[in-house]
Amino acid sequence: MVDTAAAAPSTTEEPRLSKRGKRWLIAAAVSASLVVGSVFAFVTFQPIQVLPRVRLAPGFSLIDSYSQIVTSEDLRGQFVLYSFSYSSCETCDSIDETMLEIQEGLESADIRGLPVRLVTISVDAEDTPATLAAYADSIGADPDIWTFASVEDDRFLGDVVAGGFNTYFAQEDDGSIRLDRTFVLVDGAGIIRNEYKYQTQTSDTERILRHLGVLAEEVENSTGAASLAYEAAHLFLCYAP
Amino acid sequence: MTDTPIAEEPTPPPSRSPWRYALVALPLVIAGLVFWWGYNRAQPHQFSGAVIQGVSAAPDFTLSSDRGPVSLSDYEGKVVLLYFGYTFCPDVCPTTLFDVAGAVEDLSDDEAEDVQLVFVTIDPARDTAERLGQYVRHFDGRFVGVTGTEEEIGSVATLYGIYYRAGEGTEATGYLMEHTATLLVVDRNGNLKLVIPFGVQSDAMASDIRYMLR
Amino acid sequence: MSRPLVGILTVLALTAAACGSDADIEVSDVWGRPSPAVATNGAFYMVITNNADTTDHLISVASDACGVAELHESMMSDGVMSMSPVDAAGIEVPGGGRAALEVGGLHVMCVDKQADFVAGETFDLSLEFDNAGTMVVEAEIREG
Repeated sequence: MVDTAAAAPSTTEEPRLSKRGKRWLIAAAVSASLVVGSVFAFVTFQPIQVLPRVRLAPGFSLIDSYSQIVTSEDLRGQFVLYSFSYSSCETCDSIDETMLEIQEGLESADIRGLPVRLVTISVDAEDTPATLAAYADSIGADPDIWTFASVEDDRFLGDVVAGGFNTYFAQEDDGSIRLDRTFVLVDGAGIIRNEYKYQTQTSDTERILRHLGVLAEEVENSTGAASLAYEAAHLFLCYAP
Repeated sequence: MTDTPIAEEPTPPPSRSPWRYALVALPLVIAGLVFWWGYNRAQPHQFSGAVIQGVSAAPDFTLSSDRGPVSLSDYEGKVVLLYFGYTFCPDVCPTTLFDVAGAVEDLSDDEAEDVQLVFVTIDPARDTAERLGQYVRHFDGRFVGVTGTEEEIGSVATLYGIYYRAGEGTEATGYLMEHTATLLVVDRNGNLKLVIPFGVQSDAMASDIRYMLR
Repeated sequence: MSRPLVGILTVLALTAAACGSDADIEVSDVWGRPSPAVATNGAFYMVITNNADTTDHLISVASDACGVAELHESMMSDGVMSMSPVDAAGIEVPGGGRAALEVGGLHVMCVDKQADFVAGETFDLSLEFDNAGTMVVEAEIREG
């Protein structure tokens, strides 16, 4: 950058070459100071915000409401928002509500056309593709975006949901299930980028949609010089609230 | 560098001393240095995989090798490389082990001392502890291969983000496995820190390991 | 054009035509990695060049070093590696093109190894092509 700016005068044949050269130099010096200034500004004001790579999402194999196998590998290369629920749940309304809001919000959200999937994993081993299909239908889930599924091998339900996604659930003596309200946002590389467990002042919907935008922006700038700025943002802990 | 155009000027007016340009050029040089510093800070090390910033303790496990039980916690303080594969695999698994062996070879003896590869079979039905031990030690005498019950393996794989399934094969091969072919790196503090995709060469792995050993 | 030149060109053309039939397919860089004695299976890699105009197919491979040799392909999709046999048509080698059997992709899967794959060892592989027929090539065991 500095080179081209300074070299420019030598290419034009004018009598007052040196004066132009000087102007170029001053211009270059000013822009250089701007660079220095902006590095400090970057650290101070954090213009680029990112989501930390929290930890690895679990590996799994699910059966969806169409009796199709959906694996953690099938879901790579897109953003996936996971929620946990089950078809006979009577207290899951608020979870489903938020997912539904996000499903609708995706249309207008600034996610740069990148694919987003919603996946609700059932924590009830009794759920079948049929019960999940009815459940999805009753909520108004768009099958192109939102998948309902249960863990293919029940033995690993706990590992996937409690171990991998860090979401508490337990079968009570009376057969009912206690379940934590959790949403987990996973990136295209299978890495958890945020977990939404506790209600903050901002609604989950609003935060999740905003965070999808943050992720999309990072993916869009994942090559070339811009990626440096994003790595810097990770380094300086410019984490989106 | 910035002096070049000035030097090329045909007839600089005598009244202008080159030092005046030097004065203007000085901030440029400083800016360059600051930028370089910032660049280096932002890029302390270019890892060959995805770095996990969150502090997430790698789940501990205990599985069996031909030389007794092996737990992740046995290797506390070391950098542990975890790979999930199977000995029937002729192409991808040996290639990865070969590359890891090459990386360990690249390290100094002291460094290599603090690195442990653990190969977890995803095909416990066919891979016995004995077979695994002989298999991994072919690549490097220090490597460890472990197996367990189908349930134990499934559980560990799930927690490490590994998906696997017995796929089709032929009469001669029997079933073949499909599996996540990433190499997972646990740092000296026991946190899962790095996910290396298939195809990373041994020198890049060595440089990652060396960085994590610092 | 002078007479001797025409003569030379004719000879060259005839030679080329004569050689053409068996030089249609060239196989180079045939190798396999040393593998543990305990590993039942191994893999061979190679580069096949097709000098003919028409597409040819590598249909099958046989070797004394393997109980059975099969053509397989490792496929990587988003981090997950799967391996499956190549379909019955075999591996396509386009006319004037080439096919590479390489690590993490197409390869000869040597099922039930009959010998130790030790660096420096060589094994004969018999390759059967759809058009070019059968040819025997030598595979070297070496580290990468």
